[in-house]
Amino acid sequence: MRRFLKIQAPALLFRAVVVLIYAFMFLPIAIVVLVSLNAEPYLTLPPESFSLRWYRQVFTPTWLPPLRYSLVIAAAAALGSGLLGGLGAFAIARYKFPGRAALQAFLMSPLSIPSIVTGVAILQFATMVNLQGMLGTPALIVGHIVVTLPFTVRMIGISLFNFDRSVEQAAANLGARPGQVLRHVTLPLMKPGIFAGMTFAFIVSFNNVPVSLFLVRPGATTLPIEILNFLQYRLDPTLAAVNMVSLVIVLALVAIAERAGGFTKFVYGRS
Amino acid sequence: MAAPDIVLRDVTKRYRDALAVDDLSLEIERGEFLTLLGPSGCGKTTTLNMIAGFIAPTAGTITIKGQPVTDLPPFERDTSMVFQSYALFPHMTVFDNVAFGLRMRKVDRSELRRRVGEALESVHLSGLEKRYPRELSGGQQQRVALARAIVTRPAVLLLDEPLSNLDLKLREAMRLELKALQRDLGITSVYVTHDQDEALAMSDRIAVMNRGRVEQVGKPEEVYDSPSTLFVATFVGDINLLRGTVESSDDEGLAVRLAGGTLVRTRPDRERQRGDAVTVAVRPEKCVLSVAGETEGANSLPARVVDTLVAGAEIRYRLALEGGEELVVAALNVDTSPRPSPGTGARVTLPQAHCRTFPAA
Repeated sequence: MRRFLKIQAPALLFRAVVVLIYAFMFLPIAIVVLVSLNAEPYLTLPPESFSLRWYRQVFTPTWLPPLRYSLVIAAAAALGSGLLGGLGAFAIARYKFPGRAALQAFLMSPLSIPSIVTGVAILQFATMVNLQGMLGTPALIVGHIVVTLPFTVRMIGISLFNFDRSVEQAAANLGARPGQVLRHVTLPLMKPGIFAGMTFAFIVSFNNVPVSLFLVRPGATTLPIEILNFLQYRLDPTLAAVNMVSLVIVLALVAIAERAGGFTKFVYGRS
Repeated sequence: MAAPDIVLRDVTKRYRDALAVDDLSLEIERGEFLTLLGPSGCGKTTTLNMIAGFIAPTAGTITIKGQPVTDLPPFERDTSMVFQSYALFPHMTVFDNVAFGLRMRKVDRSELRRRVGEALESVHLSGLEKRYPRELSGGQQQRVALARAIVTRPAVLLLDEPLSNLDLKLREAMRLELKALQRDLGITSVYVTHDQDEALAMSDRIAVMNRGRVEQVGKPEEVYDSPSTLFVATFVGDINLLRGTVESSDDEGLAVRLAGGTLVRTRPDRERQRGDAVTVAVRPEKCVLSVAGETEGANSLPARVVDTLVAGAEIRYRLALEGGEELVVAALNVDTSPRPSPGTGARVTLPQAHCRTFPAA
């Protein structure tokens, strides 16, 4: 008994806590799955009968265009954020210049400013400088790049700070010109950080509401905004089905990025 | 005689507030294995990095095989470096690591395969071509780094403490192997280390560095047996130091009165004069221990055994002279040597030819 209390009880307690944490994270998703399969036009748990009818709703002109639009915006934001964040991180990690700390703080600042303020600010700025024409796709991409920059700067920055500079010296020593060092050594070693940062950027952009709210044009809205609009008037299992479809798409994209970039090891440490 | 392969002339590297390398001149012959030996911060690695082109000298010129390279970037110099951290490309296989330099030189495929194969064979790594560096042991990674450096047949091989991350047994084995490989290839090599055993075992010549300057350049036995400064004497090998004052100086040698009153005769040295404060230096294994009461010869001094330490092949005795000075005597651990026990009296002979004097530190 004593042995149980001393050795096994804490271990069991630990396991129980872990199970509860995972349950807290994944049960809501399980509930969404159940709701999306419910045949009735209202939310009941557990469902009384099953049907795929709500999934048919997803593949209609109501939901497909916003879904596609969100994917395009997220892809563009991830690319732009990866490029700008990569350049910023490279400058911060590799060069000493006046204002280096300020630049880093500036690039990270969207994390500490409520996104809704960023959204309003971009809208006001566009109006002030008479660039209302930019609202819609260009403004959305710019806005999403701003709020995703902290993720790419930080992820790519980590990959650069963990970098053993002597491998670059070794490459130069073996006859590689600066461009070749970058192509054959530096970029491949930054790749996990770039992919990790861009994946975060993609997800953050895909889910973004507060910035998009101010920058979308009527007629071309992102999926989260469309969901918000829908919620104002109705609540039926269509939303659950929409969520499931977008979740599967995002998970598939993350899996592809992981295969290409191998960043699991990067994010969770080398195994 | 051919021109030296590497010539450093008046090379200086000054950082904002520190002089890393101070007016260093050095010539390294073709096929020679030269070691830069010194404590950390003495400028040896900075010097190596200036030869490789990673650091630009503040002043002075560097010439490799007759070509001035002072202003050339690393990738235009015909040098190969083996880094202390190995600096293998973690995202490339062993084959691709070794092939890197050849690919940069646009060597065609069949020759590339052949030369990579030869290089891996010469470091006994054939069969591991498809492995990644993280899948190799430290010793194997070290060999990959070596193969990668020699495969391009560089004019100069630069080695930055390449063995310091290996354990003792492997390090000693690799010393011999590395030296044999270097001799077979006949490649001019500059080796940086702070390990005097390594330097003595491997080098054709050793340049002992201290505070950015070369204190002495010479064959291992010259540096060990005839150190030109007190720093070299103490940094390379163990040595006893006895403080005293010169009483007389002539062609036969110096007579030095130690602080405790003992008189020691040393090698002649024209730079020391009567009244100079000096340090007498003599290596432990040059001193001869005998039992008390034996014949008194030159520099045969009465002493007391303080303690003894059996260090494998030799026994080290710590002795106290009558004046209180302590010194260590190393004797071979053989049955014929006298073995006075601690606390007993003994005699120690300091052969005059091995007693050197330096200005008192």
